[in-house]
Amino acid sequence: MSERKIVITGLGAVTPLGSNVRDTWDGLCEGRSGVRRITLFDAEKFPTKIAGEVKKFDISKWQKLISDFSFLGRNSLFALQASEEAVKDSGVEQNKIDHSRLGIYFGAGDGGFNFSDYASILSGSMNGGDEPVDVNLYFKNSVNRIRPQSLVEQEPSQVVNHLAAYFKVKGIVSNCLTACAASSQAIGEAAEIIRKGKADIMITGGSHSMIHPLGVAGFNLLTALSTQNDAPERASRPFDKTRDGFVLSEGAGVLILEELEHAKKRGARIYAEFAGYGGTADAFRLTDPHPTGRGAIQAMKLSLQNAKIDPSDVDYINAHGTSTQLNDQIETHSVKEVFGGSAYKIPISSIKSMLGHMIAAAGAVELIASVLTIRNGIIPPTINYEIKDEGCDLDYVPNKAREAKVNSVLSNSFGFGGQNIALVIKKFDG
Amino acid sequence: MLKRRVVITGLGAMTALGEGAAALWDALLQGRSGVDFVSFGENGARLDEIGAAVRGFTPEKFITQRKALKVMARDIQLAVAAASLALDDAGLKSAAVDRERFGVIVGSGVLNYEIDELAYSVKSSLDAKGNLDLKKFGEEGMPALFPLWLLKYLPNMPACHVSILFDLQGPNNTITTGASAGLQALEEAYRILERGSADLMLAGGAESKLNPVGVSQYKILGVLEENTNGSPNKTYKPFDQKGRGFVIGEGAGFVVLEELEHAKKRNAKIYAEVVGFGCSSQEGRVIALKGALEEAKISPKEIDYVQASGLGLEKDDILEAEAIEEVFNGSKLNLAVSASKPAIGFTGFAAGAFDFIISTLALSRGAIAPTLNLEIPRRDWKFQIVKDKPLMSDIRYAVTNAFGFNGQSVSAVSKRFLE
Repeated sequence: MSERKIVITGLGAVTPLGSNVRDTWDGLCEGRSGVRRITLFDAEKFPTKIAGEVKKFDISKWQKLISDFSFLGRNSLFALQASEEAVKDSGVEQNKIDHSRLGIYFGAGDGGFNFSDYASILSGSMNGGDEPVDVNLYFKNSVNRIRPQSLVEQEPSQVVNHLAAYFKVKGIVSNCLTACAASSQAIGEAAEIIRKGKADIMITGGSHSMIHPLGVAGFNLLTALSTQNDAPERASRPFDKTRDGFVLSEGAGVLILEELEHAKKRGARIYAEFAGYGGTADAFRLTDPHPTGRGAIQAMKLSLQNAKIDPSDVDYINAHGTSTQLNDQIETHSVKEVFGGSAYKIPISSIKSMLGHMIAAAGAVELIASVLTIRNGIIPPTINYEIKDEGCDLDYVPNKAREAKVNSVLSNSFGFGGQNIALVIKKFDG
Repeated sequence: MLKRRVVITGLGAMTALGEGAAALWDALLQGRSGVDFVSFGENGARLDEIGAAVRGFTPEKFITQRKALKVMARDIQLAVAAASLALDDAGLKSAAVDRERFGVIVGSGVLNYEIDELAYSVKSSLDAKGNLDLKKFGEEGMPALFPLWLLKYLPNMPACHVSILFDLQGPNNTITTGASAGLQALEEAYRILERGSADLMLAGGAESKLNPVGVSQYKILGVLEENTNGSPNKTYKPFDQKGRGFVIGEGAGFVVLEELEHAKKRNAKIYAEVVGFGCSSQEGRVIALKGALEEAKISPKEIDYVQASGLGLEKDDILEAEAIEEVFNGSKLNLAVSASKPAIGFTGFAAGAFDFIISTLALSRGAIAPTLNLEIPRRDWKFQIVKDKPLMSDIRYAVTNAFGFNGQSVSAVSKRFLE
């Protein structure tokens, strides 16, 4: 029996550059930044006051369709919107598909946390305003004030629960959360589920929003975020010497993966072939990548082996490129280890320069951009690239999109804690 | 190419019944429960509850790096301990195996903040009316938190710490699908071994919600058994007419899954073989069970025993029992069913891992542990719930269920190991 091939037949996105794939892609090709001052909460006194927020997002449709709508996190709303776009785009709704062969695998983040409510419950549970917290009082105050729905919606897996209900999915449903690598890992595992024959179609990708006080505070405490607050659009500057951290953003990216014969039979439009997946762990430190890039190198090598292509076949690398000092330097080093001297000839760009870092959702949106790079022959740029860093000396497609014939793309995602995922997609040859 | 077979070569558990899978098993066979009174806080500010707590847990025994310990919520500490026990059991602590071919997958989720840690920060961020002022938080509250605070609570941290402490450089994932997550982590590990992306996988789950935040959360969700009658160990009653909710447990469970040839080459002790998984959502219990049997290529009547989820909520118990009846279709009136939750509590992300460990030991020891606190079943079901005392039984095939609320469902089929 020959191996089951997997193709990509639908795309959907909600990003700081637009609430659909087309607006997002146009923004990327034009080199626009979606980063602005934070409006979702009062960040005036935070070290970081900027983020890539999703704007002009129309929630009215979901308001009507989902009960308990008011409790839904931005993660679920973005996921529903992007999934609906992807499912429509793939045309599977019009075809009679077997819902027991339809699955979901997401890398969705948590639904956020109402910090104001929590703070007021905590402060009301301190006798005379002092710690320790009176746990009995805390228990009573929580039980009186917190609604069950708001607790349920905090759980990361609520995203796939909503999606499974909305799309009447009867096959495998899963959700993983490996920080910044989550949606790439979800896509890789979704592909393996189809390859194994456990499903014919998978709705896969990720969604996340950490633009809330404790999210920004948490990353600020780790000094991981850029504090270039006066020039938000120029703050995310992967591979540039003056980079000073990543810019938090939010959104969702969704792809429809489908078994090739299944897609052909229903006459689906095929964007690209999903070719390879590699996943490893650094097993080194919680916050820093391994200095030799061993996990990243191994993930890239495994994904190329899995795709059965040589490094020399790769025409473009969509970088993880977070704009932190360490990531960009070690990613550059790792790419050179895998591709040798030809690394200098392969364009590599980071669209986080425009979108910011969507954390769990980042990898999925980056794979969508990679698909469109193959399809449209345009490589989106790394914007804000001005000053060369000696440790980062590859062709980062600086500042302007570039026309190029691209047949194969490698896309990297590396998570906080050491998870490394590399994905390979190829132009589909009928 | 020959199909790669997957066997179970190590078990590790931290539960209310003690340290190690053997302690769990012995207590279950003896019909002991780990549920007891637990209290939080002191004196007038005390919160009294019941729960299945891991008592006397000393994380320092497993984690010697003080700095690492400081950034671990209790869920993570328990995960590291159970992982350590599983690796010892499998003889893998210092074994020369390829670390790039050895990964870890954990069922986990958003971890509870420790309230006293946030309390100080919140206190310095309040306005005159006692409401949160984000300006003050940015200036005073936030800097009062320790720099790595965020990392203490991220869902993927149990898997990260385990990979770092035990040098597991292979595939690394965290599955967040509620009470199915632990078994779903095992399913993914099984697939990874089957397709050849690794030779060894440590998989399981961890959860610790026996704290003021977790207890209040479950209370808000309305799923706790209210009627304790002063005897904690008799409180949790899955499948029983009187059961109306659950008792919170905590712990972590890990299983070492290994490709058969790899296990043979290093003369590993083999507990049992894993032969199939099924998964579905949205009340997907029947689909999950049938999917697992189909993958295992066996008929329902070959199954001797089901390690059930037995959540203890009326609706969920009935739906699980009906799914078992439908799939096995009364084909085996002596089909044995057992549930572990009355003894170790509801353990969320870890639950599926514990039930898989229990079914593995049942296969290898030829016994099924009793379901505690069962007097009168909710219905007259066409299967036998093992109760009162262990059922000695020569089991060939076992099914393990991990069914969560809203019907997220995972089932596994494992078999006694034969060459």
